[in-house]
Amino acid sequence: MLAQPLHDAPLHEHRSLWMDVWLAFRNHTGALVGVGVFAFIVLAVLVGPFLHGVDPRFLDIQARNAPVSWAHPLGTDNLGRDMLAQMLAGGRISLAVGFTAMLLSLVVGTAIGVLAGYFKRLDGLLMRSTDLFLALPLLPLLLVIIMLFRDTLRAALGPETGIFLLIVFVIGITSWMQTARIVRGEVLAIKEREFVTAARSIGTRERRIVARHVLPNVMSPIMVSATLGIANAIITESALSFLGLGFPPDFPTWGRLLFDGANFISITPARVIWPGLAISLTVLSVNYIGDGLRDALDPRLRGT
Amino acid sequence: MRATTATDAVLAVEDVRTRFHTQEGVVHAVNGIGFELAEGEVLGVVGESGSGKSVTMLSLLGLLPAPPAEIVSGTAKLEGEDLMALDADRLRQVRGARVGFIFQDPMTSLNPVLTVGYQLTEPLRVHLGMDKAAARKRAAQLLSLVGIPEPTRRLGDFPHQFSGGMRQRVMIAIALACSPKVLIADEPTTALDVTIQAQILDVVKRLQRELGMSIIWITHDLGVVAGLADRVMVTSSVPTCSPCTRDRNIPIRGACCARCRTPIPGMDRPNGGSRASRDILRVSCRRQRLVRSRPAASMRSSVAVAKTRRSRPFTRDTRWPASTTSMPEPPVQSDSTATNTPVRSGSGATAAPVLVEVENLTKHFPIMHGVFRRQVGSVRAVDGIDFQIHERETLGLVGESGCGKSTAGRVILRLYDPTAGRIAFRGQDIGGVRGESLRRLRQSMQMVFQDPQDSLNPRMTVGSIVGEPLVEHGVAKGRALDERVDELLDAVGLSPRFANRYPHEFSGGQRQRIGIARALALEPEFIVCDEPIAALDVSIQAQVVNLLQDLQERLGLTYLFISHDLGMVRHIADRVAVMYLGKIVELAPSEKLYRGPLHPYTRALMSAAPAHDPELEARRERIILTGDVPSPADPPSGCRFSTRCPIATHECSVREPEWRELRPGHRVACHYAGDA
Repeated sequence: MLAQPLHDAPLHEHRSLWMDVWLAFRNHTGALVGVGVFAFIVLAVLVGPFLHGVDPRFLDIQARNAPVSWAHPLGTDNLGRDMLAQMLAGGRISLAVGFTAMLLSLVVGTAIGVLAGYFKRLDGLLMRSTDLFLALPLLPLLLVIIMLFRDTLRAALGPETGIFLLIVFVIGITSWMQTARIVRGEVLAIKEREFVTAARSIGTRERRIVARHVLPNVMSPIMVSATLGIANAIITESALSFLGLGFPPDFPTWGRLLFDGANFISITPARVIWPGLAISLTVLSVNYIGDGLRDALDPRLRGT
Repeated sequence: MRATTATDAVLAVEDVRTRFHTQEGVVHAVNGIGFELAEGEVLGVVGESGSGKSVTMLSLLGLLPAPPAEIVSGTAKLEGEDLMALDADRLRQVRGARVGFIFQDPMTSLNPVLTVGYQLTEPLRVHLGMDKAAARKRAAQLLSLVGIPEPTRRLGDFPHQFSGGMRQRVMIAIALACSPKVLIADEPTTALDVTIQAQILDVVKRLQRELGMSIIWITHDLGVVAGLADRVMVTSSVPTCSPCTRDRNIPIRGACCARCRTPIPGMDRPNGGSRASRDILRVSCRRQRLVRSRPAASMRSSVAVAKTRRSRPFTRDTRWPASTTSMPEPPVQSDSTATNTPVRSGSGATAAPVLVEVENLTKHFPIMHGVFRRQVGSVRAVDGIDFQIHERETLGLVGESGCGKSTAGRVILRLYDPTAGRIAFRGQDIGGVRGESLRRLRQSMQMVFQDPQDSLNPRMTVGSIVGEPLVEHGVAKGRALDERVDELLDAVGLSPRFANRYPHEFSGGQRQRIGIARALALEPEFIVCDEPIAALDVSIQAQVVNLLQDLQERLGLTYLFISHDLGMVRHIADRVAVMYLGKIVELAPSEKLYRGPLHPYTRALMSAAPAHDPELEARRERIILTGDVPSPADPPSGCRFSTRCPIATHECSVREPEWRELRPGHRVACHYAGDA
């Protein structure tokens, strides 16, 4: 069941690791569907505005709460703005915020988790600061940060980039703690495995042990927090916008559209359904991609 | 003893077939096993891991998880009632009441949050309908039956308050609670140390005599069943294994037979230590005489029930068991040439210069407690040991788990920093070496690890695992690296084409070879082998040990061979050091040690290791140590062995025995060594 007769196996000269990963990934149906859906969403928000050339901020009071039509394929909102145009423009912001915030929190969380788990000396300090961040009351903190830096950043980098960076930073530094804790726990377990001792016994330097032996083996929890992190970031961004702390009100994002539409759910339910669907599909497809990637990166699940 | 006939069989099992539906396809775990168990009989079931011995028993009792497992066919008549036809409810009444089960790992098979008393009274109340008071009384009786002191008080204790051996006794008591007709023991001593195993075997033998139940004893260790079982059944997953008839002199044939006969050097082998003679291969002929006699063993398909007296020992068997790797065929040798082969005795090796020297080596692990992490004590894992290892010599380091032997090996390699003492390599003190010079030192000292599953990074290819030391030390890169990796794989008997594969694609023995190749990569002079064969099946152990010996001869290596297996150490080591609770109690050339052990602990350890020859096993005198190994955090005063020593006096608990050379090359730490 375990080891097949190995000498019957054909001679593989220099299989490339990434080729192997791709071959395994290709066999993961869910992941392939995920890639398809995600690619469609990304392509739509990138190319869509050029095909559907309506200004998302253009108010057409005549055509407010319009149903589906050729001019407005997804209808309009209560101020007569085109929903499709808003969805496409909002998707750009939401996806960008989701990914960069996720990456930031992932990098911070993984770094702190690995350092705390691997170096016993840093453990106490790093994990206590993690606890500190977890204990911080988030909303007042966000309020303070945004009040303090919004105008400065806006002045320095322009309204869009300034707010974007601020939001990404705020989401990133308030969501790395779970990742750090999970990664630390995994690292503590991996550190006790014999192959780490073996690496030390052959004289491998500490940073190489971390990079080559510890990190690849904690990929699974990192992948899981990454996929969950994207969803989390998109939702947090909408909550911030809703509170008036995020992007300005006329600046559409998926979260913003969702919250705005919630008030009109009885008149135009489509206004809630479309952004909700977009967020769900993004999160779901990223989840499946992460799932497939995790399996493909693990040689034990990859098979031969 | 009565003959086994169908009429008085307590349990008659026929044609059990079980398969598992896995992602890789259907795995046929059990292919038509059948046997009969007579009243009051002990049946040993022996086989390698994966040969279906546990699955068979679990199938009988409906204990297998239903979706992956499927029982295809089979009947199991317990006193005429077919267990495998019963529904779940009826079966539950059978389990525990009429069939008792003891599991392998006493650490996990007791529920940690319930008291032992509760777990013991549960089957009494469920199956026998006893009230609380009566059940408690009976529970206390059961505990004293399995030899647990102060049974009434201990009923209120939780499992973690018992040691491993004591927990296994509790498991036995639970299994016995309802006086079952049949007791099924699934590797109950595998997780225990030899001296504790001897205690448990003793208890089981006594209980079997007193209560007259039938026992099915599953194990992979022939030595264990040799002294216990009336008959032995060998299971195999290999379908080609032909059934044998009772007329055959050779009871088992085919692949499974080659496997189970694969020799392991045992304590009862007088010819250990001679590395040139491949005696490790020839001992196989003894393996035929598995059991005390019992007439008429019935045979079913892929199962062979081996009987002894009739079956003649093999004249000679020098074939290696079927192996998937390209091990060179070892030379064929007969008994007569073996004795003539020049044997390098341990004393002869002392002429070589000293490579590694250890003086008063100490490693204490601090125990921290409280918010401020104050040190409240220390675990004295290694507490002042001295020895020398000469060039091209193998020093065996033997002891029970927790005695500090692995820690000692790791401190010598500087994987841990020593608390005190001196470690010298080629005369140079390496106890305080750090940073870059420590990294350079690692080139000449390497380690082979215990667990081949755990010691290879699952995410790296074999080639990058073996090549890692070369890359790390900048020895080779590019094509030269590939060539060197191929060379190393070849040296340990693996095909270079495996370089692109991952560890999980290999069997345990092959993985251990990969570990050895990695240790060899930097051409070290000294290798610490930390129980390199403990996690392997017996048939693979011999191959790995022979590989280590070949490499030693070819490359002039020096080994520190850490093991708890006295037989294997006798075979490979020139000199042997016996460790107990952080101290070396005896050190001698291996033949001298095995012929005339001086320390009472060494003697107990040797007598506790079961002999593979049932006749010898029945004859020899056994010393069964009482009690458990004390905690290394709080070792006894005076001689550390005094709490368990059969010849201890008052002096032993007061004054620590000195480390003296009683005979040339034979050192021992005991006040009364040699007196008894």
